[in-house]
Amino acid sequence: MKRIVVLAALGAFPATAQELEFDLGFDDEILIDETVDEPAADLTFDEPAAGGLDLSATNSVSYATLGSDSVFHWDMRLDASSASQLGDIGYLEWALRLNLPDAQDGLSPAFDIRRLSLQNSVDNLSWKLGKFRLGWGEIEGTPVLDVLNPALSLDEVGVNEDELPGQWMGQADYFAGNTTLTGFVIADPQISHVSSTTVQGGDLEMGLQAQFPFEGGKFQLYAAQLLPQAGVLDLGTDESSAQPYTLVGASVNKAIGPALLEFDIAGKFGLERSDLAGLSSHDRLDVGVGIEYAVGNSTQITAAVYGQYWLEQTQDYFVNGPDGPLESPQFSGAYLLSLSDQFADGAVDVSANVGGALDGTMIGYSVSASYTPSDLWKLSAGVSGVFAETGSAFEMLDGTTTATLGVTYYYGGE
Amino acid sequence: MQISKSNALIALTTALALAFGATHVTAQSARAIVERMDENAQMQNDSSFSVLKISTCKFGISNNKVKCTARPTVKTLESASITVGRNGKDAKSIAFVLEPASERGIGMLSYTYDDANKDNETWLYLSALGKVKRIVASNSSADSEPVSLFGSEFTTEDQETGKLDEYTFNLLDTVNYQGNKAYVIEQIPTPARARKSRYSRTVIWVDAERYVMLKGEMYDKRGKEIRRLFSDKFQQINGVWLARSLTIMNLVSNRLSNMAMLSIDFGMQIDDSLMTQRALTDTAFRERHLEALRAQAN
Repeated sequence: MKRIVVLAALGAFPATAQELEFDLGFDDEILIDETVDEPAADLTFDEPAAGGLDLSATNSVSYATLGSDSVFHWDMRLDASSASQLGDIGYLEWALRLNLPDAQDGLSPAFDIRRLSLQNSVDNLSWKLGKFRLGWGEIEGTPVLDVLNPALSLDEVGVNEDELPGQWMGQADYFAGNTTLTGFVIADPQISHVSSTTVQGGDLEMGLQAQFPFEGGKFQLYAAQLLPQAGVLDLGTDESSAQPYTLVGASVNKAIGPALLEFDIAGKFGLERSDLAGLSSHDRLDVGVGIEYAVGNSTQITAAVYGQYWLEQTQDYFVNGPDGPLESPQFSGAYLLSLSDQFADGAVDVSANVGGALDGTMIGYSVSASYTPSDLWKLSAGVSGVFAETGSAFEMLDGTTTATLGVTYYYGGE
Repeated sequence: MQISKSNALIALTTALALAFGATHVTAQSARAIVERMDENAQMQNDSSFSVLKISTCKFGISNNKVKCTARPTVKTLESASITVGRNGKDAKSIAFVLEPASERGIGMLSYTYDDANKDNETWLYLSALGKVKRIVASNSSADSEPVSLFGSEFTTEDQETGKLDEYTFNLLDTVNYQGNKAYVIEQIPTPARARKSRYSRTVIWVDAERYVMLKGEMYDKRGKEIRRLFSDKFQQINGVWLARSLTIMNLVSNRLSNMAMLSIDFGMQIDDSLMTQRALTDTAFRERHLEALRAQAN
């Protein structure tokens, strides 16, 4: 349910104070007051602005309910980010965060490197090292090809894309005409586990991507050795296992009028599944289709549906459920639907997302809004929740509702 | 004087013949005028490098002056363009944000095609997603708008050159506009174009000497004027007439954007590789090319 707000990147930014007055009468009394035949002597280039340091502080409160339980949470964070050219060394970008958790959590303040990358290039070869995000596939937020970055937790559903975490990796691009070949290596991939006992079969992920643009679209091929974003629970030993698997995939996008059509497909070989005796390796085909539709200058609708099909199912397999093992079907699927818009001259940004399982066992939603009255402040609010069928794998989340309010102060704003 | 039925019929037939003939002549003239204006606009894309300041605000009108009623958002951009394709009628352009610092480096790559059958293309690099995204334009209804240029009221459709075959042109009048002779031309999209455009009709004022647009009025499919464009501060640089100030007013949302051309240089040596998606992702590569262009410009 990660929201996809492409046009938000182009959104208006409240900048320096400046009063504009145009002598543009509706009765055609426009004045063409500067008609000259030669270039003006004052035609000069402004010096590019130096890379600035962005500092902000965010204070947020959240209230979460699950059944009769409720939790009130407060936290504060300080963010700093900047980008600068380091001569021949390359281009440095970084974003750091100091988390000041709620005292009731008993946690100490924590320092987090959100992004840190050094990028450079020579001839047709470019490379980037550090902690950042790398997107695969056309359909964001679906686990067909968008599997390189850490899986989002429930807390991160609906979070601003700029705040999504990166991971440590090296990336190299080779540009051959219109074709781009990209390779990456991820060290210490972040894997979520439901058990405290874990087994991991390696610390490296690596992959290759080839991009072939064509008129109105792009075709891409992928091959990689990856670790799953979430460990697979061995129902026999209660260990969470993350073993390497091989991915071979392709994606294509094609723009047709105001719509961008997207298609992802991936064969995944060597994924683990659990029967009652233990884990075994299996192959799966994942397919997703999506559409991004620009309704207006700031309004975008995104929809996607994807499915996962195990290529053989000769016996019963299980996943961990709230009341014991649950049968894992040969086919499962999910859908995502997102609407984003801006109002009040771009000062209000609203996003609504809904997603769930195709078999109706779970549906989740999130609605978020932010209001930026000036470049000093941003107010944000959001509500998210989950409804799940009794007896489903998501039963424990049924009825979860979380409401969040936040205020961010930007230092140096006006 | 009484006119017999037969005479009346002859008179009507003659009038219609004259009218059709006149329409034919003026349509040709209007097309020729717009072609010259379009050539002028395309020359602005010919190996040019410019620095632009785009200011956007909510506006109000008092004492016959248009004023911002709220503090404008201001962005400074660097933009490079080249013409390509048959007869140099296609264009590739790329623009990067210089200011504000928090948006510095955000880039937009655009390919525009003269061929009416080829959709223009726009791409952005979104670091949050870690990939280049193709941006789709929404031109499908009267209420929708195509891709905005960095959040301003300027859109890719308003900046488009070429594709003249997608319109019919009528010369409505020749007027004196602010002391300059100007042609008033009506531009009607073909049915195919109309399906992709917000505008059912555009009326433009074209300077009869310099072939630059002085003013434009855009009408929606209900015939209501929804946007108005003004040009200002005209200069001839390297034989190309251009407006150093463009202001577009959205009459529905009461927002306006002013695009001030702080500088422009023509005849620049611009490497075609800068006009690729690589320039959006490879920051070091992009900065090397932009540094070279800044040095050329100086």
